[in-house]
Amino acid sequence: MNIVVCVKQVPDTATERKLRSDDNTLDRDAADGVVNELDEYAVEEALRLKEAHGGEVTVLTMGPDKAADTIRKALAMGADKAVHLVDDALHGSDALSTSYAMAQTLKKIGFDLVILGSESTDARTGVLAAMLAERLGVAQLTLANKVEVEGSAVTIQRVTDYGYDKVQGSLPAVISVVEKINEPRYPSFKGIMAAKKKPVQKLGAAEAELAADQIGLGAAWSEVTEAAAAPPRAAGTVVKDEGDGGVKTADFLSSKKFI
Amino acid sequence: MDFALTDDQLALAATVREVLRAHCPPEEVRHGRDRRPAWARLAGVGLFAALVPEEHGGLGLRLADTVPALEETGRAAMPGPVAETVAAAPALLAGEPDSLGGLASGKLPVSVRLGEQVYIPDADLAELLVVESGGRAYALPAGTGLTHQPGVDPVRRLFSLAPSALDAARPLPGGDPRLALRRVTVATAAQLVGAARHLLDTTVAYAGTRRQFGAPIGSFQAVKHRLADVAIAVEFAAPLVYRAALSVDAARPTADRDVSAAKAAAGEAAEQAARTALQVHGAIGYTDELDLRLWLARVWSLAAAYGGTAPHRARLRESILSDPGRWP
Repeated sequence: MNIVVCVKQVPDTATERKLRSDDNTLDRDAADGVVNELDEYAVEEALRLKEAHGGEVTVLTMGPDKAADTIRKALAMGADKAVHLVDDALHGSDALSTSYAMAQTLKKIGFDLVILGSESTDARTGVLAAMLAERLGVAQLTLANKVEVEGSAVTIQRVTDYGYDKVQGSLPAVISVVEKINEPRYPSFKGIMAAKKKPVQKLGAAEAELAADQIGLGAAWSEVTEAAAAPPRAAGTVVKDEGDGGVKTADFLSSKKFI
Repeated sequence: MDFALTDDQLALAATVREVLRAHCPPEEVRHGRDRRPAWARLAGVGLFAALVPEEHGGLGLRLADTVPALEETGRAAMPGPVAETVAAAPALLAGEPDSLGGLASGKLPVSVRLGEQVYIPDADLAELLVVESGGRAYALPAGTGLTHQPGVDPVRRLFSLAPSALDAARPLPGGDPRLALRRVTVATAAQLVGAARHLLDTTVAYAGTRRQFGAPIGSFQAVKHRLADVAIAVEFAAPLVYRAALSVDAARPTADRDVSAAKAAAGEAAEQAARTALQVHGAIGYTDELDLRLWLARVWSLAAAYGGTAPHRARLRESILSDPGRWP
């Protein structure tokens, strides 16, 4: 089975994230890049499926040069090879453009199963899996906390508010996973050393045959025109207890209709 | 020659750091010592196989490759005989294929008594003890003739060995206690650097939140300077540790001198970090409730291990002054 895992490099959630002053896109140089956490679950699931059914795991990422670190981590975890879609023309792509670029690349490299994390910690749109499935014309099985493949049938448990749905499709298909699905492995020393010998194919927009008017900031359907930092939290009111603290507190709660 | 750390060395350290962050938090250091927190996980990623030759199931790495990873074990104050098992044991058990396999899998924690070391650290957490006697290495089954000795670090416990226990010892003809001592000294220096980094980070964070005279105490120059001095000491010590590892790996004639320079510098930097951390934290730094004490104790314990700062400085001085190339 030919499994492609889509991974994304995101700014470390522990650091302060900023927008660029020139075009209001995410400033990817301002923060350390890390693998989007949910994508690690996707890589783990791909590796488990490979271990159970055989085949090959390819990592696909779209992002600037430094996204190569993210590829290296996925390869160290055990993926076999990688494709890095990198081009300045892709800068500022919105979800639609990204799904177009990724879908074109996926058609080029071929796949039986595409696995994604259910969302990224930076953009948090959570729509890429659905968009990819639509563009590729294959089944979409999203928000899975369990995946089973038997022959050409793939079955997932989709997490819902009330429990889960059992969803079945046939390969080829696109799956997105939630963090309850597994526990991602740590890259082993052996895996880390093997990673640098694994092939990484770099593709530009031209090689991936992307139409220039479909990608980048210019093709985005929405534009951030202005951004401002959230106002700092206002200082609270201090109630001094002069024997009537309870009454004052009750008055306050009552004024907010809590009691 | 390029002295920068390689991507691989940094990636090995990153994976060790990730494991320790998840499986060896301060609560585990405080309460979990006896179950060897994170040990099995780190065995899974291959830390204990690093210096074991490939033909015995290891990775055949050099000590230098593991220095940043060993720093991380110090940063987390990880309990157990880590430096001994990772660095010393492969050199001592070189002639024992079965033991090397156990080492590589992480199922054979080893502690040692080498050189002038009096006590065996974490002997109760080891499955095998190796002691040096008359320049030779001997293996002992764990648990016999051990007496817990009072020590500064309640987590890194020290044990004396009854002389009669040596009667049951088995010689290790392929073992190289001299190489093992060099390696474990460098590994301990790396852990000291890691512990110092943790103390510095924690103290800088504390100085940024603790307020006095209407401002964070970190805004006062007297506090800033102390912390800057620690940062400088740590940054000066870290390359000496790496250099020592390279010298030991290549068996350079200056290896012993470089090991002494590394241990002395790392010990001094870490003790300075500990002293400053305590000073900046003030009285709360002494308390049992704050995790700081776990790192203070570890620094004091490791700084004295495998030769304290003074003997290593003396050996360094001796080596430089007796070098005719330097002092014709």
